[in-house]
Amino acid sequence: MSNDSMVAVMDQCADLSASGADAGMLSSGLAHAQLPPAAGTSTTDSGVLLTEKAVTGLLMLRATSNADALSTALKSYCGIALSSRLHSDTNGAYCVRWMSPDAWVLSCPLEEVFAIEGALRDAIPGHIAIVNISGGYTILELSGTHARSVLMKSTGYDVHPDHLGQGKVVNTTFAKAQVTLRAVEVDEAQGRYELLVRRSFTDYLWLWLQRAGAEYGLHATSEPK
Amino acid sequence: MFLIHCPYCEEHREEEEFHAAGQAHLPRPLDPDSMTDEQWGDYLFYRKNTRGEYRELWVHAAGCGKYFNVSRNTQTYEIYATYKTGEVLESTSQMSVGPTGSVLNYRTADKEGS
Amino acid sequence: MATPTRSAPGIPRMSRFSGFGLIKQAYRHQEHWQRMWRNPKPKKHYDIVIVGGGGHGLATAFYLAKMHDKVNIAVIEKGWIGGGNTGRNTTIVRSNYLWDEAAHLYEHAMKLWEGLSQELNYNVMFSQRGVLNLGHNLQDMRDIERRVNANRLNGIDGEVLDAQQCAQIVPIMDCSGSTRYPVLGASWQPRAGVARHDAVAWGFARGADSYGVDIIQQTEVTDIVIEDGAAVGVQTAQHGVIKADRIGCVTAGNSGVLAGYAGFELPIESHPLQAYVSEPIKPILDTVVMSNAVHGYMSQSDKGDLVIGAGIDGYVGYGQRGSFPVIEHTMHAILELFPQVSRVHMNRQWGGIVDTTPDACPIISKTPVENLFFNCGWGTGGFKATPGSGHVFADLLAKGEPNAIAKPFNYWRFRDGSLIDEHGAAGVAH
Repeated sequence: MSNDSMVAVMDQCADLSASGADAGMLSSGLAHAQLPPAAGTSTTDSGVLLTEKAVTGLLMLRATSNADALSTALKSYCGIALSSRLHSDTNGAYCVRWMSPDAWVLSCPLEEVFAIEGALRDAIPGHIAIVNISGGYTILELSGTHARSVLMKSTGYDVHPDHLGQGKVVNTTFAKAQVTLRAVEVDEAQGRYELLVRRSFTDYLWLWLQRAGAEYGLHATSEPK
Repeated sequence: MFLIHCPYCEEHREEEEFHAAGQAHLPRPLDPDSMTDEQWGDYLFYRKNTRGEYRELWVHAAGCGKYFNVSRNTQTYEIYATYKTGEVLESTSQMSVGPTGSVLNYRTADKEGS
Repeated sequence: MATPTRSAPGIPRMSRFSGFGLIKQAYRHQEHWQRMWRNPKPKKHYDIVIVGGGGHGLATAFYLAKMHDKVNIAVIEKGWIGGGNTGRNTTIVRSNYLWDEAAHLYEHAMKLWEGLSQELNYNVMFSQRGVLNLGHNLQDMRDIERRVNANRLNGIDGEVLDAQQCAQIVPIMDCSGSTRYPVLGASWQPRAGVARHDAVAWGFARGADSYGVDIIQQTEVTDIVIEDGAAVGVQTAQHGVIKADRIGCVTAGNSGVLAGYAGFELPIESHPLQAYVSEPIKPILDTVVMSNAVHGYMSQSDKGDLVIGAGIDGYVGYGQRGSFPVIEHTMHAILELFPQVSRVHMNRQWGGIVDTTPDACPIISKTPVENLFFNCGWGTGGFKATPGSGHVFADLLAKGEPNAIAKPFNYWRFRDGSLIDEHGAAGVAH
């Protein structure tokens, strides 16, 4: 950490290597409701696959006048620059999403999140904000031939591939909740979409998606930790 | 139901993503201590509340989270223009209004108080 | 005796409605009913001109004539009487307000409601079927206890009920503990209830007309004529300038527009507030249920329609319709409380323009312009105050100074800080 930084930064995953624990923030946002094991129908004929991703490292990056410096620093550590309006950029396990003209969310492996935060802070002398929000969000993924149909039931946003093309990311309303919706891979036939949702809304949205996807033979799983 | 053009996302979005935040262009007084009760009361509570073309502050709450200005007709509900805070809107009579009421020709060079 | 004892010169004496009259008219094939009010040509000058022919404006004219012996009065209405918010509300009448100032005002109205049908010789169908304000969490219940105690100290009836008592009063309500917002209890005002809103406007119009008040419909005020800082008349689109010694504006959502004509601003924002009526169904609800936390309210009319209301649009608007997201929100709230009405069709929906103030209390006041008076800012709860509002505003217009009830509701309280903070203390937050 730079010495002139007035920010106290804590490694929120310090026990990760020590215990490999499945405790605290590492547990699923659905754990209290015991949802994933009971969910889903058969894997054959599933038009929609709903996956709860394992807990991911997430950093909220904010910068205005120092956005260029932040972008350069990000490029050197993760190989991707800050993405442009309504777009995301991916490089392996790293993905940066545009949230606002001065805010982005970077996802990375949980083990690296503390190191990246420190490296970015060290690289930029001026005014920026970096917040570790890994514990506050869950990533759900919808894929399959009817994934788009499930989205259409849930959000007022136009999710046609011409409008929500590959790599596009939007903050919008989704079944009365707020989500960050990203088109990971889309073509005419099918799509894979990522929903970045607040952790406290995860169980609600999970139940919503189960019901919305039922008619397409939804299959739901949780990614192993 | 409004389709509102967010000047930061540069897309039309549904009304549900936004919140209205009252009359626009009300700069916070720089020196409240020197104001009379009347001036302070006027700043806090008294509003134009126009029936017709009205300038409002809206926030893209479920989207990018940014505040911006809307020129809207409170009688017909037509949206003439949306523009970023700090920008100045030309008179609405010269405005070029698109099919959803939000294509605009506003001036961005001049900065204003709020 | 409440009915007019004399008529103004040239005004036909109002015939009294009675049971005998009903039989008599039935035998005459209902063809000889007296016209309820005249349709006069406006004079050039009146002692008092009231702008706005809703319930409040007509009540003001009625009490001016009755209590203050003023008969050279005109009520100017741009549409038809009772066609604005008077005909667009959910007809709820109650007086269980928290603060002394508001409680005195609304209780004053409540006492007038209780004798209103007799006073007007017109059935306003005031039905004291009680109003429940539900509590859904511990803080709600603490607030309810506080409010009921405050009401009782002000001589207003009120009781704190538990969930079981609520279920007894409203058997169809989901009072189980398994709901998302369980009903923990309620405040209960037995004297509260509903009235027929159109009849209120018609009754006051008929009463005022019988004293010689000119009710001038289809006449829009387009400016206020000001000379030497004093209002001297109103400019109308249809009849030119109508002069007046004093002008009272009672125009609800359009108050800001009139204030603009007179050259000042009001601490008011106008928002659409919607009401909904379902298809008529068998009687299921014989009281009024309001919920602040779930945010909706419902009663059942004598016809069997469910009468439903909830929140305002979040932005300034003068379109009398309201937005779709609010409709959805309202239906969510009602189904939360009454899941069994999920298959009932909504027949009609409409919006009224409510003039909301920062402290959710009205303005009954003199203004910066001499001889110009405003009665506005009733926001979402004006109907319940109709007779009381007219009564105190008549007093203000007649004497030029506010009486003890009206005094706290002055225009300048937003500058000197003496706000009456009923916000959040009212039945439903808006």
